[in-house]
Amino acid sequence: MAKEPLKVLTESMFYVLLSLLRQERCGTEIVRFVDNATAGRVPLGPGTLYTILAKFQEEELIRETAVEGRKRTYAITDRGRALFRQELSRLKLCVADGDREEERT
Amino acid sequence: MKKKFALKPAEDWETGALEVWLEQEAAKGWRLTAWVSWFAVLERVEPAPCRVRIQPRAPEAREDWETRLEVYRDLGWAYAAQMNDYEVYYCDDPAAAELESDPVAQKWAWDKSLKSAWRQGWLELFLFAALAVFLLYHCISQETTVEWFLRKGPELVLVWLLCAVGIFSGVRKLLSISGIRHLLDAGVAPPHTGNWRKSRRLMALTELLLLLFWIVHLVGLGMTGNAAYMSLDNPELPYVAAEVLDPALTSSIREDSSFGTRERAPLALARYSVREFFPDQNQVTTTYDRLLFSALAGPLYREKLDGFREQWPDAALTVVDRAGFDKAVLLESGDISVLTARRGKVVLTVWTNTGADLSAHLDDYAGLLADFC
Repeated sequence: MAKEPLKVLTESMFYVLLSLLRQERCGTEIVRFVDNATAGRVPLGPGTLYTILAKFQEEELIRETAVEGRKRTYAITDRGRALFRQELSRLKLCVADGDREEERT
Repeated sequence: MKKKFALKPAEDWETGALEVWLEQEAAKGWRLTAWVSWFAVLERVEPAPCRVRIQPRAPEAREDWETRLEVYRDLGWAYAAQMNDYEVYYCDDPAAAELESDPVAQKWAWDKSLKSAWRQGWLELFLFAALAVFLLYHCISQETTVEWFLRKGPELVLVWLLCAVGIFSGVRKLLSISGIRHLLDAGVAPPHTGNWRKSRRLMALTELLLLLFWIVHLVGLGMTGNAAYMSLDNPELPYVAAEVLDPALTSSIREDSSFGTRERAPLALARYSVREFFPDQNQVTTTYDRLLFSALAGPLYREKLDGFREQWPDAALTVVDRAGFDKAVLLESGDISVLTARRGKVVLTVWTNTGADLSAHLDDYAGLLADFC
């Protein structure tokens, strides 16, 4: 696993954090949330999901909250929320810059 | 359930090639159930197209692994088998998302195994290159290179071929891994493709060379170092007796320690050596080498001649130009006479310190070469 701290999130990572913003979810629930939220635009494979969950736990962006049988539930941490907000602001700036340039043309 | 074993057609790191191979096997109705060393155990199923993906195995507790497999299964990916540090998954649902859908996350997952394969590639390359250089050095540092080559030549050639294949494989591995790492660094998912037939050919060649090496090595061991002692009366021994060279050197005064031997080497079908000892440390030594290829006779002849010339630098040298020899040289220094001759695949040397005149018996030696060639 790479040791450098996360600075920019990919779409998959962004949506994993987004899925945990309002409630705790397990792995399959996260995938279904992302699928519904993006209407299938952002596919989230199970390999990627587990790599992201492991990295986010390592970075303390999320934490495991419950283990029921084989079902594990995750919640976002304050640090994860802060990174999500930072990424959202960055994306908003990108969109604003894009809109402004498009209006000028 | 019907099962079959199939030799793994590519190395672990060639995941794309292995994925293609397993998908083709699934289309023919064979699915992987286990890896046993270099063999894949495949089970008979209904032929169906599917996706196969190979993923590096991360260290995790058994219960975490089971939980993960359940989520994978829910999302359409069924675990098939473990292959050393990798795991193999099958997906029958064409609508299911790829196992690894984010190249950045994939880079994290693959980083360790790619680094490990990268190190292994360099190690293989270094070891094979070092072995090739060592063998080359060992070969050229021999005092009698041709003599050594006659004994070890086939093994040496096979080891060099193995080194060449190993170096080629190492370079190929490093280039492929470097390509995958560059793609992942650029945020691009590596393609799930690869030529497993090419990899299988390369592996088969390596295995064939290894098998040949051991066969040649064992046959060579049986051939060399087992000199058969022969009575000097044996008509099979190709030599001109000392008493023919000098009537004073009769067999009655010949010492009992005189002997004849017959040996073989992988590149020499027959190697005879006859040593006749007489009082006052006088002797006549004849060696006769019948080689597998006439191309080897020239270098052996030159090596033997150079050896004699180095031993007796002041000896008078006479080039013998007569029928019966392809090449022949006579060296004379006091009582010492040395004849070095070759014809076709045969190299003959006669050395004596008895003062016998070898030049008077060149016809005998030409006849010997003609009879035993």
